[in-house]
Amino acid sequence: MSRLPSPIPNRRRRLSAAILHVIVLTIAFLPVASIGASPVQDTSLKRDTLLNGLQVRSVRAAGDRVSVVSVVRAGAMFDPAGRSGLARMTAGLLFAGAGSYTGERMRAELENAGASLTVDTTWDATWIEASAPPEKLSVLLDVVSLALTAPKFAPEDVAAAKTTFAGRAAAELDDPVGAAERGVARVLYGKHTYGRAIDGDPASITAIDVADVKLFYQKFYGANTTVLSIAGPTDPVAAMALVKPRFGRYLKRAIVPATFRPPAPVAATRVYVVDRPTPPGADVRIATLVPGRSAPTLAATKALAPLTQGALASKLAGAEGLTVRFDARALQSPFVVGFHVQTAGLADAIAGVGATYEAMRATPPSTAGVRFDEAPGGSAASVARSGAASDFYVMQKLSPDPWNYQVSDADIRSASQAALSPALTIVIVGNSAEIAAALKDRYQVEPLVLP
Amino acid sequence: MNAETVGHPEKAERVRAMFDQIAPRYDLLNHVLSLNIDKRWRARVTRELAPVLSKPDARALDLCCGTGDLTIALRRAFPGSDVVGLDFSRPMLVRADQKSTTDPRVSLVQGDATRVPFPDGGFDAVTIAFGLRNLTSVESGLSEIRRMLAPGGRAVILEFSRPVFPLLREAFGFYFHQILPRIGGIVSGSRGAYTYLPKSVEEFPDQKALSGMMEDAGFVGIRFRNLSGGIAAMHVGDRKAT
Repeated sequence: MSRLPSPIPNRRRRLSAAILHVIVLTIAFLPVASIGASPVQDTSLKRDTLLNGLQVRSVRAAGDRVSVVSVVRAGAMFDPAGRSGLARMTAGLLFAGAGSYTGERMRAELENAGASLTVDTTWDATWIEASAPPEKLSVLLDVVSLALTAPKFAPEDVAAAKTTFAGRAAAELDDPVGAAERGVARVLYGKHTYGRAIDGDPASITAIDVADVKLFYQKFYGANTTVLSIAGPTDPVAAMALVKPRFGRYLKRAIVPATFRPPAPVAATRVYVVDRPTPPGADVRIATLVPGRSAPTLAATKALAPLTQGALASKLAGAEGLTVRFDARALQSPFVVGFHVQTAGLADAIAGVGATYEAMRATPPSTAGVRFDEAPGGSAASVARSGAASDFYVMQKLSPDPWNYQVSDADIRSASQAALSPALTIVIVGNSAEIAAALKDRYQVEPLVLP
Repeated sequence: MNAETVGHPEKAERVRAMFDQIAPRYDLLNHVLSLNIDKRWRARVTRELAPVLSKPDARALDLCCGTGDLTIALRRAFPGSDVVGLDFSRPMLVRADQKSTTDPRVSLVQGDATRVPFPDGGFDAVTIAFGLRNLTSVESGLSEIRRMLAPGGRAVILEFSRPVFPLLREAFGFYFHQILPRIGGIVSGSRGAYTYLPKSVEEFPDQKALSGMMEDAGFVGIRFRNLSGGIAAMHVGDRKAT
């Protein structure tokens, strides 16, 4: 049997046949396939879990930029002993070259797309936040996916990062505010991982090598330990389609639980002094330990911080830069008052905090007027961030519902008992001789030496 | 602890169990669901390998060989060659053995494509058809492929990809997500396997990205060809001749 020559090229004929087959099958099965489809679907939010376990959420949000937020369970709480700063350094190195991109190319791609990028490591997680005009979403995803799935960690990049981090840690130790923060963490948590500094110290940074960085990445950066959130003026379905081929290669890891022994409770007030003779006055941190993110009093403790700051503002007239913050973490978390004061007013300021706490414990503040700035909504960046955080904390069992802002007076009472405890941990940075003299009749002070 | 391998056994076991389950009707379904185009795609692969497998006693390795369709096609196309088929599903290999039982130059080996039990540089050609996306790590698979190639050897990767024409992409997406899992589920008894298929294809790197990964793995002369409008793509890469 002979074959007649085809009037169209062979390749085109086969392609046409393929298209025809697919279309015929599609039409033939259309009624069957439609039966299972849900008649009403929310087109503003799309969620999926990839085969590798990566959770992705894509949501339509107002604005002129699209925001991509990745949260990875690669926080500083997993820094190995003697290697503090490793989590943050590893995060920074993700964008120093990945896959077939050099660090320069990654930066150029983002710059040409009009994109912004921030990378931050907290105790619980590493956050990568990028935004760009919506038509550049694919560029953002190209760069972020490469950074997360195929970082190079070239020895020269690690060496450069070590130099930067060591310099930063040394500067922070020199700065009284930085020293006060590091000092209070050290005293509150002792040998617990939270007792170190997220940025590390000069000795721990020096000890880090390329193998440490690679091992940290291999242990903690995984598809199933990451949540990816996209928000902006873009079709969530189309955004999801861009995500899948880029993140399907992301490896799944074993989830490392946070099994650290909690720090010992503080039984009585302790005062520590970090000697810094030169600057005038004293930088003070007064801290208590409160339950972490999974506690039912999470929202109440968050609400309590600004209420406490308001109450203290009138009592600490001589204090400068007064702040009260609740640094929520997976495990027990610090509730910290910070201020700068002249040494002569130091004893009265500390007493003022103690008296305010006592009064607030006796008569806890009302929930009236409690406001949360972190509530979801607003810009695309905020929507992406809050969505990522919500999924991440639930997925990692760090918080049952991070956006539960229902706070009752009973919750505030309960939070007040823990956060405004009479057993305080006080760290003062300044001239130790002057501080000891100022406090001699009221507090026993102990020296504290930072690494 | 070797952190790099953590989590891998879980996926490997899942995929292995899935292929074990669908093995009895795998060939029939492949040909029906792909509308028999898969045969043409395999023919393209053999043509690409002519420069390295036409010589006497050439050796080829077909990774993730399944029921041996490509393994056998390579043997037929290059009569002077020896071909090894490797797959981690024993039921698949049993079927491949039934199809190639009279050919002494076809060897079948059960093993993991990311840790292949052969020495470096032992093959003139390495192929993997519709298997790369199932590996626990695409990078590890590419690295193994390159390792086993002799200098000047050639790798050909055949894999589902992204249709390049919008109409075809839409129609194929519907077919892949709505029709294929139903037919596959009815005939094979495992709807999960045919739900996994479209999801795994969606999450596999596209043509350009896979080329980039091959470059990272050390291949040279990398090129790809879209087949049937990009429903599948054939990537070719060589190991540099020393």
